[in-house]
Amino acid sequence: MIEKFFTPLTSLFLIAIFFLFNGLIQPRMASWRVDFSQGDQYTLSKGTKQTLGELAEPVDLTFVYSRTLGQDFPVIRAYAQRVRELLQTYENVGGRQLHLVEIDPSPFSTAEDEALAAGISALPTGSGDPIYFGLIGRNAVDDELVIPFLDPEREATLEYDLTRLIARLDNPKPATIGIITDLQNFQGTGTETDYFVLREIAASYTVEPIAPDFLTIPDNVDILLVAHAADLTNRQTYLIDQFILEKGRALILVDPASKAAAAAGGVFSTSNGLTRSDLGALGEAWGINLLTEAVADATHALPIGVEENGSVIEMGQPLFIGLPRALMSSDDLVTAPLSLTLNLGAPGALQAFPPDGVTFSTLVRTDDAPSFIDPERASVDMPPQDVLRAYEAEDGYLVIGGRLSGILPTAFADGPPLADLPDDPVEAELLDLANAELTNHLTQSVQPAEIIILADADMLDDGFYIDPRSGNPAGDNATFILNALDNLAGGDALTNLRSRSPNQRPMNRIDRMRDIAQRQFFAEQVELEDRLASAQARLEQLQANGIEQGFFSGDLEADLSPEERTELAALRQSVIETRSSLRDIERNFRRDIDGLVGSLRFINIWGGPLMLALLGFLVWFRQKRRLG
Amino acid sequence: MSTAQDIWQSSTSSFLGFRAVYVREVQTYIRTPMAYVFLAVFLLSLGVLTWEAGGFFETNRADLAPFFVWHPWLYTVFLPALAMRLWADEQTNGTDELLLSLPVGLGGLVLGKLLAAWTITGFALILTIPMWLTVNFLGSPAAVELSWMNPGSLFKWLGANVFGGADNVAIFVTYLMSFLMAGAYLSIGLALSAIARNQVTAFIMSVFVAFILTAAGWPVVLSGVTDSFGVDAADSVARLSFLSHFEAAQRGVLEWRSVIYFTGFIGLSCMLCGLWVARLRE
Repeated sequence: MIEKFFTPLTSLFLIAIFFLFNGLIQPRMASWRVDFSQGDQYTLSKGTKQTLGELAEPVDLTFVYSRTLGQDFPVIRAYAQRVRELLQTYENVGGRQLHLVEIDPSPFSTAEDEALAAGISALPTGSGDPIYFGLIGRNAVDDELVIPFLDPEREATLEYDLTRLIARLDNPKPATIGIITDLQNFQGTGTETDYFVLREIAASYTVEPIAPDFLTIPDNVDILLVAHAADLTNRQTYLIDQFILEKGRALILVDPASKAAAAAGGVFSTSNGLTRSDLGALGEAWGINLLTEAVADATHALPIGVEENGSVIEMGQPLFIGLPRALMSSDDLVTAPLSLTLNLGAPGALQAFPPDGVTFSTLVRTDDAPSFIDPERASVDMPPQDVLRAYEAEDGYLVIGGRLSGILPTAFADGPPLADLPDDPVEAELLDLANAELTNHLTQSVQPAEIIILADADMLDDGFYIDPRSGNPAGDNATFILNALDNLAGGDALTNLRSRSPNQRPMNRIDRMRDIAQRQFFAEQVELEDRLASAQARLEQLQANGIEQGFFSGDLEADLSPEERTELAALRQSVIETRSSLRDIERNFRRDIDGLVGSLRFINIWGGPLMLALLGFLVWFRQKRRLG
Repeated sequence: MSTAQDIWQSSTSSFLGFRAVYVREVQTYIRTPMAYVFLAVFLLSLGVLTWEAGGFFETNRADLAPFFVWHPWLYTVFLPALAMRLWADEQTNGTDELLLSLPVGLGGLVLGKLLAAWTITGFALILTIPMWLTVNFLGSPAAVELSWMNPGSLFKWLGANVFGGADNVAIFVTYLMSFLMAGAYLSIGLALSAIARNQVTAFIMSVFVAFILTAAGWPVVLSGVTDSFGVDAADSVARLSFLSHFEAAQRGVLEWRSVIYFTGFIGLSCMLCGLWVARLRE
């Protein structure tokens, strides 16, 4: 009896053991993995792991991707795969607190309604049905944050974007930004008349304006934004110093030649008209020095209209610098996601000799041949011609902005500075009250500080990067400021994240071939196009003559002279020939690439089978010979 | 007459004759045209799927993702075809009794047959190496002039065009996992061919089981399971799927649980196979 059932029972037993064993052991082994990809693409940074590990409430992520439609767009498809894989890694690390679902919003489905309602972008395609490719995040109290479109261009910052979204869902209260500034359009809370960037800041954060004559920094301020505060008293500097030692988060814009301050400094202005602001005592303690001179960079001069001999011509102004991506750090998450230029107006240069335990990394720099310009002249209207005349190219670049991190010492080693008691009794009373709060003097950072410093405050001005016609940003100035605040607001976990080089390895060889072909045929193509245009123009002219004069006779060429007729025929012939040569060029242009891809395709599809066939034939032949 | 139990107990520990069985099976594959046809069609399908359906060139990425993604699906169909004859053939030819009467241990028989089929599959994978060279060639980071006057340039050229253009360590890991996974697919065919009466039945049963184990990790299936039975059920289903276990490996991430799963699966199939073969001898 037992023998009869031995086989099936043992089989079932073995299968059950296997599945039981797997069910038990597998969930416990999720983190036993070795990442062999270059740059550990699939291992999350410490910052992300920390954020995921500290999730207080469950976070739901909905990955929205039109899978079927996406198949036709290889770039989207490949990137979607990357996003999916990264999200799965997040889910593995996040455990029960992070829940991931993927929806495919096919046309007219409920999934599509969900995607649209959440604000996922619908990308139009040729077929008429849109592609959705974004991410919706929700927390336990139904806050919703959305990445409307996961742009393949932003692969380097994908992890940061995802982690930031999760961190925000976990802690939805926006940070409070305290702003200290002399710039009038930056002193409000983000109303119509304020700078565009301030309105943007106010949209994501709580803005707490701090009056220029402040006696205390409000307790609720999380991040301090100091933008061209030129006239700080000793005591105010001390307050900033203590704030930074305590909370460690600040974005500081200084300027050796503030154009906004120079423009505002009239007789009737409330502005103090000081054009230079620097780090003062703080800079000395941190080892950061703002040089006296303003900086010009002729390589990336922004064009401005200049009046010359009565007419307005466009000319590059070396004091207005449009810094391209290449001159910004690609590692730091403040600058890595930028795509447009950072437009600066007569910036300054920073020198850094930070003390032990403090690091300074360059975020923004000039190109290799900048020049120092007298700040007095640079802050007023200095025509480009004059700048070029004063231009003395330096060897190497100058640092314009950077990130200071570490444990900072106080600039006031001797304790709080003694304030001069004002004459006004009310003010004296207030100062006394404020003094009473200054009980806890800090001599060094309580927690590692992260400070972003930029040696230009004019970049806040709309005039430098907002296109006056469309009202849209033409430079990434506002994005820079918002990224910096975002990064500072993110807490330790987020500020420690760095952008990573994308894992997509482009087919470099194809790109190179394309470049070569472009160079080779470009001149010829331009010449042919010119020839075609002029031949067509002449042709039209001749035909117009013919129509005018020979219209009634029915022969369009009736009134053309014999020479003109010959010319007309020749022109027609020439147009046909030029067109055909242009077509040849287009074909040549792709010929090498198509040829290479064709052979590779052939080798890879037929190579294996052919080798097998050959092998099979050899074996057959040997066998036949041996038998025969 | 010995019972299945006896044979099972006496033979599992015996790997006697493993070498002889292995050599015999490999020779059988080499000498029969069927193996060539299957492998040729397998390679052809892989090439066509990678370049046409996967749009390998259009992704403009020098990686093998559009190539490896097809492996589980092609294994589902082609490896049962390779394995179907392993036992079913012996039964049709009546050589099974002879085989079991030879001084060859059951363990040696089962493993010899599996490894023979596995070797052939490994050979097929080696024939896909042009694909690996292709991504390195297309992704080569810099143009290097090859000059016969300067022997050093050859190394530079090789560095740029043969080794430099892709994430080769990751690709190697993916190949290894694909090979291990192939062993699991083959072991299904091996075990089921022991209880099938003929090759066709063995093939159909194997494809069916392989398909279920593959498709269980398909996002379409998993989202369906999630909708009906919840996340935990979907997780459990995914843990049983070859597709899920190959997922991380495709990016060059080695997950030990997947290695354990595949080796465990192969072990299970081999034991079942031994058990079922032994039953035939009752």
